Amino acid sequence: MLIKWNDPWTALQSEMHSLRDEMQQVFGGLLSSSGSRRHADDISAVRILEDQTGYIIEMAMPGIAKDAIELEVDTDNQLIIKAHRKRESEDVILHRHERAFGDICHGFDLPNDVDREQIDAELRDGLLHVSVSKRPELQHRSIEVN
Amino acid sequence: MTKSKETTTKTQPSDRANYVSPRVDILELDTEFHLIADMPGVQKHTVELTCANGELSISAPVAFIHNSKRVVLGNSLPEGYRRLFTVDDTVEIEKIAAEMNNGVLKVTLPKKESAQSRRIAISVN
Repeated sequence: MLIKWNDPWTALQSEMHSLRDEMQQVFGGLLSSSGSRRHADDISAVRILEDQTGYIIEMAMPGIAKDAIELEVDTDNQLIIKAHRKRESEDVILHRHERAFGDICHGFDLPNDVDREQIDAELRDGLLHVSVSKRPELQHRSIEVN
Repeated sequence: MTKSKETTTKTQPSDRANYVSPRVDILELDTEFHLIADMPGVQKHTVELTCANGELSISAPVAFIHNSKRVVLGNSLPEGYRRLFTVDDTVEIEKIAAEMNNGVLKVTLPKKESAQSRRIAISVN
């Protein structure tokens, strides 16, 4: 039996986006110009993406060297990403100080469809891309009608 | 010297509506200021940095490489960054330089000689 299942989170997000779009139409430029007033999240902002073959975890790691990042999968099937950002030059006059320093630690519970041997990470322009493959036998498969 | 200008009155292209302010540190050294901005996901060649009429403007898009996938959790990464700073006349505008490394933009703003503090050596007889 085939069941069409709607992800409630996606449905909620789409509701929120349409509400935001409606508000932008009502307030016009007022809201669109406020974009620059919104601050970027602190270091280690995260986005998780999925397709038929696997997941991608994108995590902000600005100014962090490859060697200062550690990834491991523990026995509870949790992917742990640790990093450390060093404070630069201590003895200067600081007129503005918004950037954070110190330890970053994130844990992600891996779903059962994941192949824990197929996890790769790449650091590009201060953004860490962790790709987690799904087990081939559990990947979504399209079947052609003959 | 450089002060963040929080009000944005200029019209911005609509595709920059989801840009956010990067987090910055502004440091003062003897001969120059450093403006350091966290802009993870930004490629060096896409950074627009301009200085005119006493304003330094930074703008850059985030280069997402996995757009074909569905976002399932978290959407805290912005589409890009932009921010304006006021630059006063102690800065040598023509000598402003910038470098981008691993998602961090560093702008060096040299002080005019007249604005530099002078160190005077004292000789002891």
